[in-house]
Amino acid sequence: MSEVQKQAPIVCESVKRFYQQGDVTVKALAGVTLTIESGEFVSLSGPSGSGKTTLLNCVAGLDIPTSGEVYLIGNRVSQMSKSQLADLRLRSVGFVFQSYNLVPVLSAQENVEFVMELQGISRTERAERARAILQEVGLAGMEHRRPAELSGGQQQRVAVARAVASRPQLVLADEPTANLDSKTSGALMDMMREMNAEHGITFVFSTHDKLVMSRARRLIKMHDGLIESDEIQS
Amino acid sequence: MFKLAWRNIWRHPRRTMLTLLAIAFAAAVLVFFIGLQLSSYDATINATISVFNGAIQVQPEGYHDRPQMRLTIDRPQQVLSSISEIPGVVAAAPRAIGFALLSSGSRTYGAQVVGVDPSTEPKVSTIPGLIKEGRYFTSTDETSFIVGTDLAKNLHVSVGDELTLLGQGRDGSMAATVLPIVGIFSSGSEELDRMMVQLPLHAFADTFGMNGSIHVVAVAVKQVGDVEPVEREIERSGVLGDSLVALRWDELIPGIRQMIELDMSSGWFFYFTLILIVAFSVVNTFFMAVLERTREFCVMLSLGMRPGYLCRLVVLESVMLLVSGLLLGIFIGSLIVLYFGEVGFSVPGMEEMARQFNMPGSIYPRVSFRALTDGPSVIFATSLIGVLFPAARVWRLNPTEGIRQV
Amino acid sequence: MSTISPGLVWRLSSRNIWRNPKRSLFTLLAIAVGIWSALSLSAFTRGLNQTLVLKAINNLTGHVKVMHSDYHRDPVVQHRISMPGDRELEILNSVNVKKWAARVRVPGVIMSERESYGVNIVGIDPAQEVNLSFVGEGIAQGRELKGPEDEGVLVGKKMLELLQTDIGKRIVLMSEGEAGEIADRGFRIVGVFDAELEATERVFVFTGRTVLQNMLGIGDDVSEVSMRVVDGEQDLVKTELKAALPNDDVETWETLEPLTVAMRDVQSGFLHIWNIIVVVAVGFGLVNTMFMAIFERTREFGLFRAIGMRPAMIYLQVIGESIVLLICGALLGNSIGLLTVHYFADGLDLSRFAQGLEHFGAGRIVYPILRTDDVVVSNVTIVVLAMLSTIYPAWRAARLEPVEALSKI
Repeated sequence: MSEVQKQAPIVCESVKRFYQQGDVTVKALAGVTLTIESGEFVSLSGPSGSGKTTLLNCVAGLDIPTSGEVYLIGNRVSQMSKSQLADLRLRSVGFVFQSYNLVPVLSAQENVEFVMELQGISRTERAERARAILQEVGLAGMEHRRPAELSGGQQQRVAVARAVASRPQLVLADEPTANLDSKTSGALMDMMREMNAEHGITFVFSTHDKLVMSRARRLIKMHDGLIESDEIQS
Repeated sequence: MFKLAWRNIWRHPRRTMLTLLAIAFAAAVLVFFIGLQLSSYDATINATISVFNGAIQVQPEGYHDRPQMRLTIDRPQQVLSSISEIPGVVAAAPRAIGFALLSSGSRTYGAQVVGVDPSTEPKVSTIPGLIKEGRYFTSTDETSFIVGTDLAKNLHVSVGDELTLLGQGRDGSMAATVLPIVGIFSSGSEELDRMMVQLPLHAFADTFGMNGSIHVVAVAVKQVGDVEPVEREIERSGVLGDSLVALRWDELIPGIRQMIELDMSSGWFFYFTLILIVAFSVVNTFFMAVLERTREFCVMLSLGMRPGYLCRLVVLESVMLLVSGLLLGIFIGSLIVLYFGEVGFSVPGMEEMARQFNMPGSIYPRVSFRALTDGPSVIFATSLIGVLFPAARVWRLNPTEGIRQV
Repeated sequence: MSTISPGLVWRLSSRNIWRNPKRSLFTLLAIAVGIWSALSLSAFTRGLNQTLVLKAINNLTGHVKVMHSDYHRDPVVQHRISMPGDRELEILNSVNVKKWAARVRVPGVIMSERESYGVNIVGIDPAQEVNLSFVGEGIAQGRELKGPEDEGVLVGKKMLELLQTDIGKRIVLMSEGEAGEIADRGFRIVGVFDAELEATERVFVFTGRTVLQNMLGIGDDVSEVSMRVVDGEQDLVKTELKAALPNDDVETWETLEPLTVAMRDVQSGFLHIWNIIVVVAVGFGLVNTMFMAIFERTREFGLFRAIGMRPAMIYLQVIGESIVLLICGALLGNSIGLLTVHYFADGLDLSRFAQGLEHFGAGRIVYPILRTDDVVVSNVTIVVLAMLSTIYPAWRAARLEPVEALSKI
């Protein structure tokens, strides 16, 4: 594998992850080799327990593979300390989770600014970027609402806004549409595609949702901890 | 229901442990401090009663407020014998009391002079057993003094020296005598050690012209609880007549009882603040427990369970938690009490204070029923009242609302 | 690089408190009650103690006293000193000494026609006693002494009752004279004083200083010179006097009234014990609250970690939350404490326990005293120790594994 390839946002080399549950060894990942290039828009699908979430966690450095290597934006994850990993995530990776994405005590705008604030970006720049991005995701005028005052779809939009506001190279989204109706899901997907196209951010999301899969450009299907199929959609 | 309640308590072992420990801590503190207070009161009362005063005194009416030579008990034998027969009475000792100047040649001091009966006095007062130098009177017709240690020091005298007594007799005439000192006592009470000299009753009568009458009968009872029944019995026996009264120790020295009451009431004020702090913690725990189980309760309610059952469940859970905590606290508190009961509890300065107030220099707390139950029962009651708030919340739950909530 | 952004930490900490207002309120109240309890205990204890000290100083002790080197041990007429000379007067009339009085004070006996009692016979110059001792505060009945030559006698109310006599009647005072002989003299009672403590009314009998000096045959000598000094200067005055009078005994009230000092020590001891007890009780409540707060926010902490927040910031956030709670609780507790002290500023009337207080030598009205150092000690002990108690929950929160935390509901 060439060095150029290792500079790609995600490179996995025969990644295995086993869990011990009592006497049984669960093979969450049974050997995954995968490269995701910059600017891709990838859907990771498969039934429950197929290893999607574990793969995302390993990619993000939140979970450590039992064997194999993960390269995140050219960094060999297994050789990084926890705080180096934390810094890497902070600078280069955005996250969107299925639910409980936002900090309930902070307003929409403060949530978007959150990562930037951790990055140490100045107050004025933060506010400017946050307002711009909230407008982009269609939430202009709702900057000061708390998460509890927003609908599920709006909350996920804020989450996406937060994930991209810090201008990461990669956004990892774990079932971002799981709690949304189909219309809202569609709108969220359109929005993420726009971000992908306009800002060149790489998106990887796990999903069950046919609609979401249909909008991905690259569709990876997983089963029993292995990649079952990996195809480019038109 | 018990099993369910118990299991619910331990859903959050750490939270339950912390709440339980807080309850136990407060209970242990109260058990120890109340035990300490009660024991120090007992010790003070006992010292006050046993050193000299006696549990009850029979005196001429008005003598207590203004002790005058001419107020006397004129037929002492009759009074003594009828009091001695009352159940609960250990002994009744006759005393005659006067005031005189004592002179040792180089020094002169005023002192309280007490005529005692050497055969009954040791059963009522501990002074005969607290002779530091020399000996106590050996016979009733002995003519000699025993003197308090501080008074002896002030007079520059020791055993064998003679003291000149100069005072006023019962009829106002001059009372004077010269007697040798046979013993020096150290009672532990500064006032007695500085102020008192004793001599046998008949020698007192000769000196002061008492004609067989006395001033006071000091009565010792078997235990503190006997004081009131014995007093009632003395009053009922008719031996007092019109001119005599029976006074309990707390009437003789009202300061001690009030001191105890003041100490207890101020103590309780601060115990109660401690109990409040812990009750807040308990109520907090149950608010949390109810809040996080809102959904579960709502499901149970929709399934047809009565709100009353859920309320009782919550209250039962809190009772279980409280009782476990209190039992643990009582256990720990008792261990602390037992430990200090062996080695004695003292803070700097207590020794000096003790001597003045007739208290022991170290307190040796004992485990008593009141000490074990007073504090914990107030903790129980206060916390339970607090827990009614979260329980009421369960009562008001609306099933549909709750299911949506979480 | 991720920075620990103090503004963000503060915003999260302070807002999280209102996430569960009831829980925060209970915790805050517990802290407030704790501080209130510690403050009122110290204020009332100090107040009670102050009555003891004032009583002791007023009771012919003063702040500093000069005596014959054997007088304290054996207060008889032979152990006396001469009237203050020029060198002493220079110190006694300096700015540091507010008032001073020279007295003759000997043990003796007072006799009426019917009764006799042991007393302390005190010869005074009445003008010197004003603002110095209780006898200078005026009398209940009859007249005051007019000067050191006044041949009248002042007795306490209780003593008048015991002697079964009255103003204008004659009594005899008897004491040991200079040569060891019995010195006695008839006097007329001219006034009766009323002291708060019955013991005081029983113990002291006053007459003119020169009259008593003549009766005892001691010329111009006195037993003691007692003085009240400017606050905080008593040790300086003592040192100066000691230098001027190397052969005499110069003592402060702390030495003369060891009992009052002992009681102060005992009370201070119990104050400290109580502070610790309050800290532990408040600590349990606070730790419990913080654990609950962390428990319900597990997922959120997981998210923070996933995004790349350093554990230190999560740690600070939890500590910050407890600090906010503590500070609010402390503010509330201190306010209630101050209000309580203010409310009782005119004195807490303990007349119901008057005889009990008398047993201790304390007055029946207690004025709470809130000393700055007590306030500081109580607050610092409670706030700092309670804060230390939240280190463990905060550490637990910071140590959460992101993957596990995220998988919790």
